[in-house]
Formats: sequence, C-alpha cells, structure tokens
Amino acid sequence: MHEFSLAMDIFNIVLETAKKEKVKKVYSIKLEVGKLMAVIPDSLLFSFETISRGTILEDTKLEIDEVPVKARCKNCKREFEVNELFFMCPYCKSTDLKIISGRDMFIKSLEVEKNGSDKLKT
Amino acid sequence: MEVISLRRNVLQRYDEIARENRQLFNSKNILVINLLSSPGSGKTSIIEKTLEKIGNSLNVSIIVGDVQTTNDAERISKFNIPVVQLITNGACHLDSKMIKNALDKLELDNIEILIIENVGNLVCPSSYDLGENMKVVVFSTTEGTDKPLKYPSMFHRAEVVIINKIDLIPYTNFSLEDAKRYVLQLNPKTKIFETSCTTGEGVGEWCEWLLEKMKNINATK
Repeated sequence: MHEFSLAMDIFNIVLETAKKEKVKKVYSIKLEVGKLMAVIPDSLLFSFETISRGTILEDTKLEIDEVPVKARCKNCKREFEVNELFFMCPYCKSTDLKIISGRDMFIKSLEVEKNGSDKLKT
Repeated sequence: MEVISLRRNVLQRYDEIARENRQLFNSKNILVINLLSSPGSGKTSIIEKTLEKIGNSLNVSIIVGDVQTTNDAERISKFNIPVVQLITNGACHLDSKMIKNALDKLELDNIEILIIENVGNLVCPSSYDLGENMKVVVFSTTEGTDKPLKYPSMFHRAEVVIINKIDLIPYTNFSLEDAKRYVLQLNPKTKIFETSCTTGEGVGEWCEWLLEKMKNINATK
C-alpha cells in the first residue's frame, strides 16, 4: 500500500503549488503513472479522497494516465514498448536497454481557478 | 479555468535526499546494500550468515527497518556491530529521509559496508531510492517459482537476487531453473546466488562476490 504515501505526497505538492499560484480552486490533477511504479489506480484514488476530505482539495478530481514501459536498445538504437515486462529488444534480441519511460510518477498539470485577491483557505 | 503545467516528479523530494545520501556514501567509500524481500524470505538470516563470514574482516553496520518490534535488531546485536533499528509504525517501506536521519546514529568514518534491511515487502520499496549502491532481493523456494514475474518492478531493479532456502527444494515444487530464467528475463544483468542459511550452502559464494565488489569500489577511488 504505497499508494497512501504517494497520495500524501501528491496532496502536499498540489497544496504548495496552489498557495504559491494564488489558486482559489483546483478542479483536477493530471497524473502520469509509469507501469513500473506498481500503483493500483483505485487505491491511489481512494487514498487521495481520504486525505483530501475536509480540505480545499476535497472536490478535486485525480485523473490518472498510465504510462507504458518503453525502452531504447543500446545496441540497435531502436525504441519499443516493453510488453509482458520482458526486457529484451524485439529487433536484435539485445538485453542492453535503457528504460525511457514508465518508471516514474509525474504530476503533469493542474486545472485551476485563480483569484489573486482571495487567500487560499487550507 | 486555467491550466498550471507542473511536470513534477512525485518522488522528487525523496530522490533528492537519496542523491545526497549517495554522495555522502561515496565520499566515505561505503558500499551500501538495500536488502529487500517479502516477509519471511530470510533477510535477517542472510545478514547473520554474512556477518559470520565477513564480520571480522570488514566493518559492517546495519540499518534494520520493521513495521513493528526490535526483534531483528536484537538478533543482529550479538555480533557487536552498530545496528540502528527503524520502526516505521505501519509504513510499508523505508525512504531516503528515514535513512538520512538514521545516519546520525552511525559513525560513517568507520563503515565499509552498510546493509539496509528494508521492510518485508516486494512492492512499495522498489520505487524508493535510498541512495544505495545496489538492491539485493532475496526470495525463498517456498514462495513459488514465479515470484519474480509477480513482482517485476522489484526484480527489474535488482543487481543481485539471492534464492534462499534451497535445502527445502525437495519438499516443494520449486524449479530452480525456471526461477533463474524469470529473474534474468526481468533483468539480464542480475547476479544470482543460491543459498541455504540452515546448511550454509552458497553463503560463501555470495560473501566472496561481496568482498570482490568491495575491492573494486576501493580501487576506483
């Protein structure tokens, strides 16, 4: 269940950004979650809902995009999706690969309503 | 409605601290092992056996992470080496910040190998870089041959996999050959050891490899 601590980190980063940018309301958070993060989307949504209850992010929607694992072959330089987590180049069978996506979790963007004069209540 | 573009890595805070930890370990020539497995695979037994072999010739310190109890630290304390017990109070993994705090309790100038025994869990700890040199994943023959395929994220990141409890293979349907194939499928560069902490089989090979690794680290400094 690392979803809970990840949800907590997301919550803190968004809150910090909202304060800095003088945001009145956060409508949605767009997340990119690499498949290698081993995150269960439902658990992450549930954790975020639990954490944000009673805060200004209570009605904020978490939109999760799962990012496939992609690699570049260091031998033949081609890029491909790693299916079934079989870490071998489908073209030249080399196993010397560099993972280029699908390892991390990013907060891509926030949909917000700004209001410079109103102070954000937390 | 406006859009704020962030492109922010959620684990950035932990990654930054992990980088600091790594720099510190490098500057002190410490080989740091992040030891991972599911609960009950034999992490603490591997540490005990390793200390029996190399504890006298190398300065080893241990950080032990557990959800509760100090039992593991007590088991290791008989070797009279520095042990720091971290109790996560429910958290399922160690993170770089916990390690950074634990380092205050260790004399880094007197450590050659630091073994971090992570919380028994094959999912969550895989995403958290602690600043280690390598992840060593232990899995035991009673857990099933396909364990690596069930936890690909963890095994993909492993530099070493120790298949433990090989003395029990006759009592299980475990296939050593298939297990090794699965490990290499997820990471072809993984070094595999086969051990039994009951009979001591294979522990010597693992320790020799570790000593060799230690030499290489010192040689490149």
